[in-house]
Amino acid sequence: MKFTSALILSLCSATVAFSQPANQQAARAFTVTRMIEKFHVSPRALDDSFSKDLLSSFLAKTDGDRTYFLASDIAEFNTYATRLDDEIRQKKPDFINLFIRRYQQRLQQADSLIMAISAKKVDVVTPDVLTVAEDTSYPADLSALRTKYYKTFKSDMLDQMADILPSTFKGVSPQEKKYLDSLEIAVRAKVKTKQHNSIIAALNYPGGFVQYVGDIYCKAIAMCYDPHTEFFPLTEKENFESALGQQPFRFGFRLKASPAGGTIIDNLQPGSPAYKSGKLNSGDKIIQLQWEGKQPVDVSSSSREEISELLDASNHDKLFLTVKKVDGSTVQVPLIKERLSTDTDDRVKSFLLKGQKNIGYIYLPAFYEDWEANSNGVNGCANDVAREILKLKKENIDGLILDVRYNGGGSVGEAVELAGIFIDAGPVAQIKSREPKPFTLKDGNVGTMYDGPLVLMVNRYSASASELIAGTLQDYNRAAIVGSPTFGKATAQVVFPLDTTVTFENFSKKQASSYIKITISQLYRVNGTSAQAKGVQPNVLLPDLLDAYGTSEADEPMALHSKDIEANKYYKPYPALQISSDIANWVKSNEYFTAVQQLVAKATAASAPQPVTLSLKEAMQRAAQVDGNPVIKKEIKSTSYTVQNNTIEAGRLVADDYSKQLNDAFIKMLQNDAAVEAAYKVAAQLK
Amino acid sequence: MKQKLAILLIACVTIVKSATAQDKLDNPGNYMNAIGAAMAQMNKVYMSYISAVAHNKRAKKIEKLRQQTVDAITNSKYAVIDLPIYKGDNDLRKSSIDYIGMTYKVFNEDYAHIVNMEDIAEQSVDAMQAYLLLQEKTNETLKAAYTKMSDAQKAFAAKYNVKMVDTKDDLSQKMDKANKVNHYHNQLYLTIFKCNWQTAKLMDALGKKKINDVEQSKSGLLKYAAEGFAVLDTTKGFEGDTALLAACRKVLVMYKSVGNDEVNKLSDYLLKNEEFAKTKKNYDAKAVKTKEDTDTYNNAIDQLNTAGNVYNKASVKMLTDMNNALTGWGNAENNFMKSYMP
Repeated sequence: MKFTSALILSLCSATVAFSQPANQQAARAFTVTRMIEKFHVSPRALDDSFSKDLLSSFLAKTDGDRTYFLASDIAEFNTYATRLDDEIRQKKPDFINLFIRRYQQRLQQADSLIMAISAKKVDVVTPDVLTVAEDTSYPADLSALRTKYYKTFKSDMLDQMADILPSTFKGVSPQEKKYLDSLEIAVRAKVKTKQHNSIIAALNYPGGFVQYVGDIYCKAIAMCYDPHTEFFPLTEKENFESALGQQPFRFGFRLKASPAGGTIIDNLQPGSPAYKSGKLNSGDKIIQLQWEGKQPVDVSSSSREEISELLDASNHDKLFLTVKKVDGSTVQVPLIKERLSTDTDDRVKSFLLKGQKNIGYIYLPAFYEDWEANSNGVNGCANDVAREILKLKKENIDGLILDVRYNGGGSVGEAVELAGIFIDAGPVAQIKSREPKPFTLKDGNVGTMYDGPLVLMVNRYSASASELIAGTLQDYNRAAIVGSPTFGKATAQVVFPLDTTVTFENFSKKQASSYIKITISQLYRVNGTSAQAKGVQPNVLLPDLLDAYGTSEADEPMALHSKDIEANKYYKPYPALQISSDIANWVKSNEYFTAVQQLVAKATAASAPQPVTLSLKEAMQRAAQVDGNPVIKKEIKSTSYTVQNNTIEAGRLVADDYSKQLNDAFIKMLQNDAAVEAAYKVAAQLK
Repeated sequence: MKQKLAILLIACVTIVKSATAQDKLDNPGNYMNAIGAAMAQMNKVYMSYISAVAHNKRAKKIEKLRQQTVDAITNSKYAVIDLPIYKGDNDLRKSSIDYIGMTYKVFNEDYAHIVNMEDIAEQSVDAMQAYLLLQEKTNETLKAAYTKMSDAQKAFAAKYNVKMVDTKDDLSQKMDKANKVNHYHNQLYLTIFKCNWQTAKLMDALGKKKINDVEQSKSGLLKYAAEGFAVLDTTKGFEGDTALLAACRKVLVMYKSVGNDEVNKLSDYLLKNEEFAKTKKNYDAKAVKTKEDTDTYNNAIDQLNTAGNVYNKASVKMLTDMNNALTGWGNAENNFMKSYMP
């Protein structure tokens, strides 16, 4: 009882303290909607449906696991379910005030729970079950909340332990039991620190807790327009700089916080060792760092700042970086720091696949631009690709594979130039902003650089500019698209300072305390359709682990959906491509693809909410699903071709050990990649 | 661009056999003749202008004649406007005024009022395509206006029982000839014009050392040369004279060889040069250099030097060949105009 009265007291005093800053948050929320209404390509109405979406995305952002709020809190919030639009329009702080009070109370309560749970040993061996009902609803009372919190805490611990323990671990022998005991203590402390820190970080936010909630509220509002319209408060300077491309690269990659905890690779710097290794992709989770000759450091739940510090602090040469791929497999990559200087050589890699036919292969992981003012795009990715094609043409190739798997996009201008390599002058894509007439992007170069058989490799993580090129080459019947459907992002964004007086003309000169990234236009294919939320459908479909583990634009509930516009009148497609049905049969009978298909089917079936059994044994089984699959782990060497360097480069590689090392690793990867083999077969039969 | 592609006006002097000798305009024959006379004046000045252009007269004289043509067109327009509407029937008068108005716009290069410039911009990918498309559309519009007037004449004659006589005076014969000469020249010149344009782009790309643009311009050049050969294959000599045709073929043969041979040597050097820069960077970065390192480096220097020599020879050859072929074409053009343009 004492507890309750103390709580009421503190709530009363808090109300007084909050009201003034809460007004400011309400005013900020209003400004966010005004800005978006001014610049967004198709802003949705600020109405009851908006209000409902806002409430649910706000709750998802503040209590995604439903472990803070009680069902009664939610009922209270729901009285505002259709009124948030009015609150925003009238700059009223009532809802924000209520939310702040409740949220602060529940976070403090959760912190006490963390302390209590982490004080005792957690039994990781005896199974508990997190039921579907428990997982998908808010606890009815404090006792249910306590139970659920314990289970999620345990689940966090199990995930970490499963990552650390070898797959052979059984936990039976006394030695293993002893190790497990010590591991339990360490992991429990780690999870406790992580969870406690994240609550403390919220409660002691630099600008105050009210600001913290206000920031999330503004983010939730922006998100309701589309997933790429984003609000950046000042405290997220790094995210904002990353959006502008100003954040420094460390070891050739930028980091960002993963929504699921820990830190993931945001993007790769073209030309860096991380990029050239071909093994790292955006979205990879950083698991472990190991300096040569030193003990490995587990960073699976470290924040971006902590990892950045570790990377900056050491002057050691060689780093072994372990990442967990989106599909659950782990990869280790050696990286050398001294080689990081502005190395613009070999950003695009090309190889020869020598078999019955000689097929060129070019890997392009990003659409980077030439940043130098007077070099006419000589260092842009399109010209880099052209250079590689010229080298391959000297080897008399019969066909060409351009690989844009995991290529998340970049410069649209470079994509248009790249299309020009393969098609004669003409329209490449259409951009539709708020203006009624679309704008046509054109390749102004009469002539082509390469007019032979062409295959474009894509996957679910080929996004934006990659989808533009895929759409264009498909509409023109110029290339066979091989892989899985692409991501489905066909929009363009601009970062504005949060200031309603800015215009398209002056926004880049103005500054503000927070920024907002707004979707200002949509991209269409020359045939008038759009890849938005649909992706580009390949001509030859390959099973892909990302089908089960990856995400795409369509998975975003607020994704924009675009209606088709008129096809461009002036584009003239080449004759339709003839792709033999032998290819599909080969894919069907291929050992690797069959295993992937089975795994994907299993994972998809399991993706509906299911009760989760919380025990070490089950956790390890889940982790082993991909990593432990013998076929997927196995290196299956392609029998169709052998991989070689082109003659011009071969000589230089001999004299450069590190380049050679990366080069050899890449060759091995290509030799064992079933998707590349499929692409080879398609390219070899195209006329 | 050495010479503009001329847009041609069409001779439209209508001779009518008058039913009576009266001068009065209420006679339909006289009315038609009055319109014809107004336009004859403008055609006469225009003919002098086009002849001066063809015979390479001084620029000052050409400009003076152009101005005179514009004035003459204006005068013709007013002369027709001054005519009364024929017994409430304005079709012939109106279509004649429209046609003259159109020629005025063409002469003043007021293209925005003739064709849909936005549509042209949308359809074309570079300035050359836009220019050619503009010429084409302008010609189409001008022809349409002429056809409309011509139809109105026939309808007028039929309605009022006027007999039109198909006899041509000296001026219309000259205009017909000038049209034929220009048309013949234009279709050959167009093939060279496209190749010249593409070569300018190629040179620009080489200057920028941008391989993508070099290779695409090369392929564009070969495409235009092939298109040109197709035109030559279906074109006969002009009144049996094949000199212009032969000169045109020489230019196309030269461009084909530039695209097929010379450019490859130039882009090969660009590639080797870049590759050498990388090798040098690696070599310079090594504190301790092994014999293998030095061999690789020296080998790269040799390769670069060889490619450099080939590059120099190819550049000189390319420029000389171009100069010769284009001078030959220029001479053939002059002879052709001298011989055939009235």
